[in-house]
Amino acid sequence: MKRILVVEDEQLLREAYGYVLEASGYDVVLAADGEAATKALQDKQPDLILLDLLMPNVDGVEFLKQADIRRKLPDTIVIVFSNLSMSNKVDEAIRLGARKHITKSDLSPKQVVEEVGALLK
Amino acid sequence: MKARPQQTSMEPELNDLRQRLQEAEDTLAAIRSGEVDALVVNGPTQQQIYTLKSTDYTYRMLIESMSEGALTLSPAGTILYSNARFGEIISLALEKVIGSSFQALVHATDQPKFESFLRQIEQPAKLELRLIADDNKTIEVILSANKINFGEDEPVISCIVTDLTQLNTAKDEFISLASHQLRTPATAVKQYISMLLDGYLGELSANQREALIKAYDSNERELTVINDLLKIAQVDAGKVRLRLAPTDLHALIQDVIHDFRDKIILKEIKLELNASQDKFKIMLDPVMIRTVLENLIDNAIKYSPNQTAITIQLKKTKLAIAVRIIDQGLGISPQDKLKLFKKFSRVENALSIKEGGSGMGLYWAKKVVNLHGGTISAEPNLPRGTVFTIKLPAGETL
Repeated sequence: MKRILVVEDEQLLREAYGYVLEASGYDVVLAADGEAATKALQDKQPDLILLDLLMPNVDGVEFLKQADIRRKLPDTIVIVFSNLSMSNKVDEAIRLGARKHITKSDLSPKQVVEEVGALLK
Repeated sequence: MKARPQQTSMEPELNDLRQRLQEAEDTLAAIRSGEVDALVVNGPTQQQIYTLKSTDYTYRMLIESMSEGALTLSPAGTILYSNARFGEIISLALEKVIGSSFQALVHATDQPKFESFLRQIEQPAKLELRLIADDNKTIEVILSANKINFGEDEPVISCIVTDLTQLNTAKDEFISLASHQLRTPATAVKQYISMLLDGYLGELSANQREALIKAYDSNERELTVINDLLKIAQVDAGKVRLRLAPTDLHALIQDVIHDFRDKIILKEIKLELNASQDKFKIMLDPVMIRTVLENLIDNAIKYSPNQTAITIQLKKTKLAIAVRIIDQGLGISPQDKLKLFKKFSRVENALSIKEGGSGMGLYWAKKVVNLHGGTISAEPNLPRGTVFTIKLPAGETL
């Protein structure tokens, strides 16, 4: 079973993504910020990380730096949630190993599952 | 009984008193009518000067303490008077402001329109202008002016100068903050309704589905407005950065048309893409230009009656690639044309009210095209409809 780490500070969204991903047969781990996500990495490596960029405490970019995803987890796919105002952050996230960026408000949870499925093929 | 002094000996003294009383009455009258600014009084050792608060003191204070700049100009544009606030707006000491030419402060591009404004002013009028402050910053202002005639004397132009820069910054910050706060709950609503509609939470009856689709559509409209507001706030704050990539504009337009196929079929619109035999691969931000094309094509479809034609032309010249979107819709009146690309402007007609819209799409389109070094314009498509033209620098064909 593929493991997915969902890092999202908004509880409602975190739970929605968690629910649909589990329903689609993934092993899902939820984290409310970058700090919780770093702890979650110690347990078992995820195959994919859905990462919000704008979060309190440790944000998405900071998490990618601290966890050194590019070097330590080269096989893990990272998708970041972005919006237009964050082009600098997106660029930095891509430099730090993110594979793709999507806008949360553009996609339904089912479409997010489809994106995840396509990348994990 | 005391003897009365002799009249002859009293007369000079009385005359002196009468004269002094008359002088005192005249002085009081002059003070009351505001003719006196100061009094010189003989003191025991020296003369003392007392300045008076003149009758126009309250008006002076009103002008001096205004949060807007206040000026009077000669008909030729020389600054005859300025309050302190105007000096602050343009970061210039007041003594340097008074006597100088207002036109010298106007941004070069805006000088012709200011000259014509000054020449033609006869009654209260407003003009949006960019001024260049002493520290070389561009200041956006609204100039509210009026011509005041003084009989045979030369008239003066009274002006109120409102600094839009601070106003706009505060507004942009508010829009950005409000939109962020609105978007998260609206996104959550979208996600949960989507989960219901996609069957994650069990089967739905036909009525339940229908009600949820209405809620979903309404929420989507809200999200679109919020996203548009955010985009505008970002572009106005200069925070939108282009991510240029070699892009085939022809393929991009085909792709956008493909996305609109359902709407086109529904309205039985005949949509044609006519491209010349050139190569259209140039450096542009495909995501941004896509939003512009989507906006223009969506508008063309929305404002076109059923069973009409929309033609998209793609042509290349030495310097530019031009995309023309030609519809046979309601068209645009000359007065609407002026406000078409302004923020929050909406053209009012029966269809626009029905179709809704935030009035931000064309403003956004203009900003994005300008960021690419291009232009966007709208002209009537005679006898019916509108032609929108985007011109992007051709650069080197890739």
